[in-house]
Amino acid sequence: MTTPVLLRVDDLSVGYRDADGAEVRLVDGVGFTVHEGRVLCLVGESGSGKSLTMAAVLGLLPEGLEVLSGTVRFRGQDLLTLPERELRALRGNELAMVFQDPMTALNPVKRVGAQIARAVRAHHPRTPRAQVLARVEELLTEVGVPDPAERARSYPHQWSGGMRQRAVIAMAMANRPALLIADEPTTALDVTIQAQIMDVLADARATSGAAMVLITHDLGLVAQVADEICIMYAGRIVERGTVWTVFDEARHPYTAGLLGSLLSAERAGSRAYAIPGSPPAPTRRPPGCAFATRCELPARSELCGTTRPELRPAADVTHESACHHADRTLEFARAVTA
Amino acid sequence: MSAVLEIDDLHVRFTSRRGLRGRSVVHAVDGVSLTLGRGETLGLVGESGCGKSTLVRTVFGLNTPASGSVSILGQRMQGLAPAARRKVLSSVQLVFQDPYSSLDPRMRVHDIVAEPLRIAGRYAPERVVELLAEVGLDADVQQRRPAQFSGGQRQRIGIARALALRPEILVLDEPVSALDVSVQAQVVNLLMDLQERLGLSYLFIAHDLAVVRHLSDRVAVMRQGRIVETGDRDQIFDAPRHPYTASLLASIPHPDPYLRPGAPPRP
Ligand SMILES: Nc1ncnc2c1ncn2[C@@H]1O[C@H](COP(=O)(O)OP(=O)(O)O)[C@@H](O)[C@H]1O
Ligand SMILES: Nc1ncnc2c1ncn2[C@@H]1O[C@H](COP(=O)(O)OP(=O)(O)O)[C@@H](O)[C@H]1O
Ligand code: SF4
Ligand SMILES: [Mg+2]
Ligand SMILES: [Mg+2]
Repeated sequence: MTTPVLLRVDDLSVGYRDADGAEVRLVDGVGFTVHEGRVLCLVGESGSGKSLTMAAVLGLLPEGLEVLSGTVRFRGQDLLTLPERELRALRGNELAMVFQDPMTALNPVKRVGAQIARAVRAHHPRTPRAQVLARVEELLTEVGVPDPAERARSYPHQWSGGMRQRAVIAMAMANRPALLIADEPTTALDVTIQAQIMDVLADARATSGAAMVLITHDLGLVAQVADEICIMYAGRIVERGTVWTVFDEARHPYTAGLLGSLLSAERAGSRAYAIPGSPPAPTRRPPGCAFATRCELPARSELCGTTRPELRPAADVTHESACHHADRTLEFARAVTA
Repeated sequence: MSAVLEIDDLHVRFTSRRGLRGRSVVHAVDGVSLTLGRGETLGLVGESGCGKSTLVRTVFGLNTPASGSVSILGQRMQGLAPAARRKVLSSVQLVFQDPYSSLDPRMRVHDIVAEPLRIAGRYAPERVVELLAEVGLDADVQQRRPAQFSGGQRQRIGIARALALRPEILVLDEPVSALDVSVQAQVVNLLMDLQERLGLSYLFIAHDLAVVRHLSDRVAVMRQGRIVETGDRDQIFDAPRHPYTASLLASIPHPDPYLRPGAPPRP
């Protein structure tokens, strides 16, 4: 059932050099593949490096940060060495983005319709005006904006947060992208609006066949949409596999802890598992396993404090874990999610 | 069960100037009645803008209601003399959502927790240590400032401060919404422990239904300034009576992929 590889990221590290010239790795040796039409979720709590990973993929790293190692191939083409002009042509065409705050993509002083028209024209500059307007209306209809012709003439501040996010998705889908990168697209929205936006994204993907990288900390969303999952902790991927196997048989104590700390119906009124402590700052990661200070796996050992575990097959080649004791996690996972 | 907090047919309105149409009146709280029993947790859920924080502010006397009443420990707040009112209000404490902005960044932890004690003339350094221990913090954090703590620890400091005057009621306005998933569970467990140890009553406000379900004995669902449904936790979640409650519940993504349409059988 596998489709061709669309995006392949290998050994990607992002960071900066401190005053003494030492590297600080905010993202450290991350790798994953996205297949055509599939959904990969990057999951982890804030500060784990999810946004920087995808910013590096898109060539949109903030000032002061650089790629320290790795390769990023989109349809076999190396994005990290691609000239800025070609990369820009790819973004908004084959590669599209949706961020948490729709206003990062919208210009407050321009009419919404004009902004979507611009996205349509960006890669097809000679499209006749009437055809562009028709396409704008069509896109707004597809994302469920009522009265699209009239709404297109208004300004972003006249739109609600959920409606703005729909407009941004319309813009992202304007050129039928092959890959949509969505960074916490619903985090700022109420639950009912969040569900609507996830439906809009699913519909847009169904029409276009686009693959998606969804960045989120919400395991509920992940369970609903992911094909594959990468769990990130302290700048690294600590577990990687299909949504089925990761939820069913967590092979990393951090993943098990996250699943255990979910406040679910079954656990109502009783204590959920709580991972002790909090994640280490990028400049204060311990030498061995970055999770060692919080890990409660009974089988953890001295090795954890001295040697950094690499990501390697745990159950089979499609399910990997960066834990020295990945073969001992199932019982723990069962205990904390009970 | 005796009521520690009673809100009766409360109305709060704001008048604002709105563009070309001139004045407009927002009925932020539009006839709300709620009862919080002793030792109980009442969850209040609703989407942003529905009036949850306005309701809370009114309980604390920070908004003046257009009509209706708030009674705390059997005392009606409207018409109470300021001194008597302050005394009653000291038994209700507020814990905010944002542990980043609700603590004064220039103050040391010791002084943050000690402040309400000093104002009440009941300051004792041992009491500060005791309060910190109550929320799982060591005495050696006292000389540090909020910036040196993680979000979860800051929320603990906020809770320690709220407990200083031995309140009977905590009003928790989205206390875990700004926290990371792994830390949410720590704070939720702490709140459950404190309730058990100290017999506190909680008015717990959130838009996250999973957290509300986890903590609440009863749940009130608020929409556009009104309570559309109140009931026992299990009734609200298993058999909602109001269509709005049902639509809220239907929007929660279940953290279980095997519940997805077309999912393979669970191994
Ligand atoms: N411009 C920057 N300069 C220095 N550190 C940064 C910068 N942007 C992000 N970071 C740090 O990098 C880490 C990863 O950030 P990010 O990728 O935004 O995390 P996530 O998206 O998982 O929340 C965090 O510790 C963050 O503080
Ligand atoms: N001080 C105020 N002046 C005018 N309108 C207000 C004020 N405070 C709140 N509102 C309005 O009252 C309604 C309820 O707001 P709020 O109580 O903050 O909702 P919630 O806490 O449920 O998100 C909103 O429409 C909000 O814009
Ligand atoms: S390597 Fe050791 S410390 Fe790290 S997650 Fe595995 S058992 Fe825990
Ligand atoms: Mg991010
Ligand atoms: Mg509020």
